[in-house]
Amino acid sequence: MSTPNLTEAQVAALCLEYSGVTKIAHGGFKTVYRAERDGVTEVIKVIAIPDGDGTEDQVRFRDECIGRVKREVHILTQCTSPYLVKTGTLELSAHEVDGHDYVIYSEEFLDGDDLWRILRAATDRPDEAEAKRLLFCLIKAIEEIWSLKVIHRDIKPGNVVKLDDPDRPFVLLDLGIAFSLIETGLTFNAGFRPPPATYRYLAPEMGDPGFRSSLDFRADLYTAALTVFEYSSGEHPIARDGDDAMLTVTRALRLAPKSLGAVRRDFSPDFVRLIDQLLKKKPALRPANLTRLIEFLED
Amino acid sequence: MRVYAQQGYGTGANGGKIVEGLQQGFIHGAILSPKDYRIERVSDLLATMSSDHSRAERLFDPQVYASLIAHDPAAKMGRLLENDYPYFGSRRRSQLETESTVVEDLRACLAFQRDLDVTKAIAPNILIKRSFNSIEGLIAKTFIRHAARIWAQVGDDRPLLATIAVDADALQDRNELASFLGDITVLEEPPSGFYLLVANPASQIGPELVDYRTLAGWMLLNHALSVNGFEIVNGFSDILTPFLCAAGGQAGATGWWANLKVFSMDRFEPPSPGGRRPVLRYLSKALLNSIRFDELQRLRGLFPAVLNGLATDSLYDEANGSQPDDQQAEVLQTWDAVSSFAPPGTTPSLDQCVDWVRNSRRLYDSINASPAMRLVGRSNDNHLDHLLGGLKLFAELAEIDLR
Repeated sequence: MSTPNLTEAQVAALCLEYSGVTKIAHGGFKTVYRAERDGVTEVIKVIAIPDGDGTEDQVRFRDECIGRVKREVHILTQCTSPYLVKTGTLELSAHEVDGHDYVIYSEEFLDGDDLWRILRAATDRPDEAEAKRLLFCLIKAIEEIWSLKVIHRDIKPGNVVKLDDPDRPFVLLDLGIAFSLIETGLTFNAGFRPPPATYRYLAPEMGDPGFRSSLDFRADLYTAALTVFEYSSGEHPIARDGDDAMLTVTRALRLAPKSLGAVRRDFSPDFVRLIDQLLKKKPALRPANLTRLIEFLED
Repeated sequence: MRVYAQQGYGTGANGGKIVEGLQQGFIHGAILSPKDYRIERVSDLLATMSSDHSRAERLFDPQVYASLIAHDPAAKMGRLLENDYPYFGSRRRSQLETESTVVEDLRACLAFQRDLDVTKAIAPNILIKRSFNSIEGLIAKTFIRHAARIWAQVGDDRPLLATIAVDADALQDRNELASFLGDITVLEEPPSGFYLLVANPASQIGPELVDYRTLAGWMLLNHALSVNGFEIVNGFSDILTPFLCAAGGQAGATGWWANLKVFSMDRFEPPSPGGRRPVLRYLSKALLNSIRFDELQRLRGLFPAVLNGLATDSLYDEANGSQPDDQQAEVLQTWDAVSSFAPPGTTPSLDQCVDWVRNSRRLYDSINASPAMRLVGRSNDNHLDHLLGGLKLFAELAEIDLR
């Protein structure tokens, strides 16, 4: 399955209102460019739709890819939380370039590093107040998308940007594999494919083949806690670097996580207890009263 | 940890046993039941509690779980089918499969409680038999889902507890229990808490002799609901109260008859012929069991550790063969003993529970080493393996490290 990506010049030609198009990241089917429009910096996202070979499966997979982008943009346009990335001025549109299909839209440009980059580089770790702020922002974002009966499913350090803005210290990105409880499922042949997820940040219930009937926002609470844990300590509580996908998933399903208190002895018992409890394998064991969680983090 | 009186037949005049328990400070509230108590007496006792013990919890268990057997002419429904309690009626399961019937029953029951001087209302429910994954399980979830909304319409600012009544066997299926918990911990309109009842096939079984898988499931219910911010009141929990509160519960309840210490639907069955008054017993904290007064008399000199060292020990006068005066003395001693595991405002820990069981094992071993002293029958040590097994299994299910 080829995943062609467009040159900066090709993107500029498709987005004539923008100037200074510069490629800043590429991953999977998605390539991200930075560009200016009317003096404002935005991020242009170009998603390559896999080329079809005419088979029914391939057609359905293309439909799934397009559907995911549409869903992501639709969710983001409905959300108003400052802790979620906002869409930009370029509306979702489809293009064909050199015989390949693409969908393009823009998001606001967030001037900061993602937490994965920070935690891999940092020698200083955040204090408890910052870790609490991070969890607060993530829970507010989860609350907002859950109000639409949507689960993010891909909260991880790489999808959270740290900003130098007290009103928006952390912003959650990328609803590319978001799961809607209301809309028709997008994943074709779902029973025969592994769950769409980043395995290092897999909520244990996602490993259940029947997860679609019971999944809820507590999967996001789990991955939010994973993110806070890893950002706070530089360590993942369960996964090990270098493990293959199978071992990573097995650990996610079976291995008890390390306690945050074991790696951050300076953190308060209450906060450690909360993160540890959010990392329980069974969703029912995770505190899920969002109002109470937010009140606790605001204190 | 708080301990409530589980009220039933034989309360005594003017709230008798309950008022005495409150005055002595052994209990911190009461759960009244309509089956054997006229509405006038319910109202009078609530008024007395409100005026004389204003900090005591006043709860009313509407006993709607009995509605599915009320059609049986042999069923012993007491006051429930008289005019005192108009919300109560015979129901067939098929009627409750209709959501509107559930909503009507909730509305009638909660409107009735609105006019009672209770500190919290208890939403009714049916008994989940055999499995959470059953028609009864679905009906029970319907009661729970609608309870807070209906209370908001017909009630007031007082908190609402939703009833979960479940067969002991159903708690042993860990997958179905986890699934049920998964559903009720994220309700759109949640109640303030839950009133938990675990049904045994018969109430004549000792309350301490709970299957370890049932205890683990019951503790898990307390734990998961507590983690999610709910208040949990355990009905008919007797000696298991401190274990359930160590898992996250706030309160437990027990009463004076066997059928007030263990929840069973046999309470609504005709009495079996040939019944006789039970021998009075003494709840020994160290044994985690109730022993007959004559066994206490035999043991107390050689094994003083069986005594609790509490004020109510005096009700079992050695000079009188350790025989208490009556049932009231027995229940006061039970309440005093259960309460003393953890005074109000404190919570027992799981580690303490483990210590209690291990220390009890040592005491039993030393007693049983002497053939003449050996405790047999209901007083034996069969419960200890279940308690320890239940603690261990609960820790596994709750993903907790138990030392």
